[in-house]
Amino acid sequence: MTEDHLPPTTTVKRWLVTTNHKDIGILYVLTALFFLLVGGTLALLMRIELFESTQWFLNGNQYNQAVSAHGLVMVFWFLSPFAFGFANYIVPLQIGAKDLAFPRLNALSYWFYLSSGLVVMVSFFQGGTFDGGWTLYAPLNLPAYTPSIGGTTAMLGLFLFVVSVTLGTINFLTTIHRSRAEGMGLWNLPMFTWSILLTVWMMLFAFAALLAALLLISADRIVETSYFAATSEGGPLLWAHLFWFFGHPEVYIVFFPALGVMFEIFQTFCGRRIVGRKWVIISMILVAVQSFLVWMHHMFLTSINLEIKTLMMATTIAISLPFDLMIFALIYTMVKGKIRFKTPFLFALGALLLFIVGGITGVFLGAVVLDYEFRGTYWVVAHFHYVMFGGASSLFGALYYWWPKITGKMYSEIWGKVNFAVWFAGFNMLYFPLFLGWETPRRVFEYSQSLVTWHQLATIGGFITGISFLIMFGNLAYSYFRGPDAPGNPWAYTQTAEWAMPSPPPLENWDGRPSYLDGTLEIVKDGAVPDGGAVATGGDVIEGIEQAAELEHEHETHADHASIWPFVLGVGAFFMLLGISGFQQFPSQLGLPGIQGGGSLMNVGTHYLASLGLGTVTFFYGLYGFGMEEFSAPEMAIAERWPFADVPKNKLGMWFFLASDVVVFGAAIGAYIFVRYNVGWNEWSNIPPSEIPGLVNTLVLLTSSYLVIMALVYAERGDKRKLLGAMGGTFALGLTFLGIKAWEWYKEIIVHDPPITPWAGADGAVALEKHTAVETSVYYVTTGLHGLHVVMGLIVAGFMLGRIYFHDAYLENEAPVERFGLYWHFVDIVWVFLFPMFYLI
Amino acid sequence: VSSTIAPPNSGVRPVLEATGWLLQIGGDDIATRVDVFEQIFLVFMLLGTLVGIVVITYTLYNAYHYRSGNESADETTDRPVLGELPTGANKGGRKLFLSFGLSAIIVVSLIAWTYGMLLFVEGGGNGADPENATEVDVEGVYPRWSFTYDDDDRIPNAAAEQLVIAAQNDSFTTIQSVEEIENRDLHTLVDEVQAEATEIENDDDRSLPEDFSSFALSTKNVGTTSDLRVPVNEQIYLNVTGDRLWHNFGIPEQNVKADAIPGQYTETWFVADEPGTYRIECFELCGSQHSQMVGTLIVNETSEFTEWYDGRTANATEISENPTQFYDPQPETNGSEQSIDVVIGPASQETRTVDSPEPTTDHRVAPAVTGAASIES
Repeated sequence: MTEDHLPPTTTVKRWLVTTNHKDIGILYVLTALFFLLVGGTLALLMRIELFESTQWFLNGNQYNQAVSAHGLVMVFWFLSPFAFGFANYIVPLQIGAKDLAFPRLNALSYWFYLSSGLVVMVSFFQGGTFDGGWTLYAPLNLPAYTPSIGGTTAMLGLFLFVVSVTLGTINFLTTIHRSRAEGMGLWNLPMFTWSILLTVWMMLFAFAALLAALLLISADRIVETSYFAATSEGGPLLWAHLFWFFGHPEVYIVFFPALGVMFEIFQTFCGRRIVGRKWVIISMILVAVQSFLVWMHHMFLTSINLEIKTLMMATTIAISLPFDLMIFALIYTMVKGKIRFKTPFLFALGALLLFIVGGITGVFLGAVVLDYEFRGTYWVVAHFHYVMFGGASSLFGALYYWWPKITGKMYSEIWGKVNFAVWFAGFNMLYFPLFLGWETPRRVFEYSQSLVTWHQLATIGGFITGISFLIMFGNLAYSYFRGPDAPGNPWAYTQTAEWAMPSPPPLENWDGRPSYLDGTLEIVKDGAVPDGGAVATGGDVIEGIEQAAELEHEHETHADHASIWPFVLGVGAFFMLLGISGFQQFPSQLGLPGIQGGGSLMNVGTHYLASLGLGTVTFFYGLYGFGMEEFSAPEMAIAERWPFADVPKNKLGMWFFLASDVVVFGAAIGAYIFVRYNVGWNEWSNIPPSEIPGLVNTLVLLTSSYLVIMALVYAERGDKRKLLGAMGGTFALGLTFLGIKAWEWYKEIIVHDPPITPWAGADGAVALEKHTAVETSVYYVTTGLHGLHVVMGLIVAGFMLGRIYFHDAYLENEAPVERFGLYWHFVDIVWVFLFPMFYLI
Repeated sequence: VSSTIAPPNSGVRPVLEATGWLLQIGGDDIATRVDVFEQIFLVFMLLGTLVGIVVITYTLYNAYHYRSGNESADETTDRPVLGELPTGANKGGRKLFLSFGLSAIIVVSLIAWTYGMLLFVEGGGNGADPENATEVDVEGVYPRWSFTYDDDDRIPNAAAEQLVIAAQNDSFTTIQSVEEIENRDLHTLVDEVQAEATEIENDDDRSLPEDFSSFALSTKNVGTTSDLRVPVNEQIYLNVTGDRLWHNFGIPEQNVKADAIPGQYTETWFVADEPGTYRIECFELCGSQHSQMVGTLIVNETSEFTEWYDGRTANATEISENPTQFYDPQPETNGSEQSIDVVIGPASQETRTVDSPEPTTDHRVAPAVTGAASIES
């Protein structure tokens, strides 16, 4: 309960070191609002240009930058992080947890998020940011067509954002699955927490696919591989598949939290429990699963065949139906209610109305024949703004709803209502005319003169919408500094636990242990209960002697709330990525020392090299500090943990990570299959001249897997010498693997005549006599991705070796060895797939 | 090229008829993409607006009716209690499922209804047999559209002229006399002459005729840039691709659209039932000149189109009928006007219209034009 390590909120240092979920939540919300301003400004620049039907304000390149950055910033850096700001703050309160499962990791997510956003901001000043649209379609996403270094930087920024999301996803999944208060089963989760749970499940898999896609495109942009080149078989289509496999779930990823907020706000301000709550949850689960089965409806006009179109049409319609049910559930929740038109409710009701319009216009797109005509037009633009930005309306409602809880201050209700009125009017004036002028192609700045009226209306609406945010910020700022204090529960008919706490809640949330064992929230003081409360009570309550022991342990060690290392890692990542962006290759410019035309690495500006150096040093310094720091984040002794009761917290986190990594490799292997299928399965020729090194490497890795199991056994036995030996052996075999790999690559890239290079530029073209560019790309990138995993494993293994040697680590608690083993086995299993793919078949 | 719409030959007709009364595709009622779109769009608009108004009105009514302080609010209703485990309301489930079922029926039947239309569109409509119809290869060549008419029987004048030059020249063994042009498959002949021309070029002992242009020969089909010219009331089949970038070819007023992806070919069709000009646009971001990637669809009366098209082509029949006029490099423009008209007359008009408005960036089209011009001069 001490705050000695955490400076007061008035200091800057507090915000740099905090790992508390409420602080991080506030940081997320504020940062997301900053990016809302950035994205909004870009939108207004576009609307100004579109006021005339001919080019007058922005030139083509500027317009495309605005269009692309607006989409990327709003979807990635505003919508999701805004929702996850609330999730950070509210979800632990709603489920009765003291913090997220991994508080330091949570801080790391935030700092990576901020860094990634700032990296994208910098990209504007590197000859312009990416200007190929937020869908990053190939081959426009290649440096040949989007040559500015800023384009590469934007993608690297997105890459870091995805890393941040993955960390956050693992954190929320572990938290919600393992830290629910006693008596709170999954069915009893409040709707907002439910929506976040399903969102992170979707994120875990969808963002992994995006991560893979970004790795491939980054390779194309930096090492000049040829995944997405127009000349690569199926190249442009491959991008569309990878992107939309992520892209469609992403729609629900940004919309679900808004939906969850709607249910919370409707319940509170209608004073009625949600009608058909169980069915709403089932609907949401259905949507979350199906969201991975509809992606090709974004590709109806490509050359995919009628059978697939039909299938995708059916899944698309099927996924729309659960939303009907949710809409009606919201509407019927109002019946017999005592509805109070407070600002949060107005925004949520507005969101419902906007979603009804967005949903109906979406059904139009579900009809393939209509989709043929709507594709690439403002119908799509208007539709998804009604859905996504309309959904954001409910998130603005959330800002008002939880504002008193977070700040302890009440806002002005009058100005809140004015805010809503201006927002709602502006929104509809902005987007409804776009339905009427739907024939305008997307992303053009010159359009048919006959449509100019609609666009002028929309531009005016855009500025009105902008003004509504000034009112919002003004209202909230005034409230923060001058507003009256808010009580713990400012609304009538609230239900969820956050309202049973003071506003704002204390640092460690609960003075005791929240429990729903009797159906209502109680704060249990375990110290006063004999036997530490570890009474077997049956049902699905998970208790036991072990937990009781942990409980006593918990009373001795208080939780830490401060660590500077996430911030250091964020800074390091920022400079590293900026440095890497300087390595972007222009077509045919690449060469490595020792290869024809070598030495062009000199083309990389020294400031980029300096940034890379500085970033790398900072990053690894941060990594070391992060690993060495003793940071206590005790898990709740008594909690609902279905269905992961028997998996310890950290191990569960590792399993979630591996699940997402399966999708990363799945996407890379999927790309291999797709490309090879398009080339012609039997036309394909493998790169390695001999399968012997691959075979040896397979044996090396399998042996190392065995050694890692031995390491775990020795750690359990507490035998330091043998533990060192087994871990050391694993490390040595990992190095051997990399050594053989390096030797193979040396033979192929340097010794082989002509050299078989991963790049297809002027220097690499020689290799194409025998292998197509795409064959070399797939070989180097896929095995390289695996090699990178081996390197990461070796970094961890090396660190662990040091800890064993110097600190006698893991002898009492072998769990970290087990977690490393899981990772290492996974890496080995992946190789078992890659070996036949690239050497045998 | 047939000018009337042939009876439907696709296998989707039974499906269409089975789809029932809503589907008014009997006879010639629907022939164009515009008709298909407008009919579906109208139904969707009407139903969508109706459903939207009903649902939104009902929502607002509820919000108003059950406002706090209204007498009608039922005080006996169970209200949420702070700290309770979240559960759902115990009432309203039946109404919920009724509404859900109703909306599901509307949505599913609407989409099922349009599926018949999808089959109609995918099946190529009820228009002409693709074998006899006008087929155009569309290629997005950033930032222009390039169109090539798929015609196995004809080649452009410029290419035909090169064949004649080759035939008259002793250097070529693949073609010895002008008469051969009429007896051979023109496209194969062009390929062979082209191949031999390359051979001659690489051979120090042989040389190409001075007026022979291998480049002019390389265009085997009539092509244009930016402007797509088609006959009215005829089914036009498009085969769409992109050369380096992903575009989307669309003519909004004809309701036709197709992705233009490098390495992929997307097929679609349309029928224009009104002569006139229509805007062609690109619907997929393709670079800073995306907005300028526009073109014009020119829909001509059939005779006008034929006149234009024949003016740019030569076929075996024409060549055999009028071989001398055809390859005479100095035709007497004041003399036998009629015979020249068949071959080059309209082309000279086109030369002006194509050359003047904008510089052509696609050189593959230029030879056809300049070739025709050189004959004229």
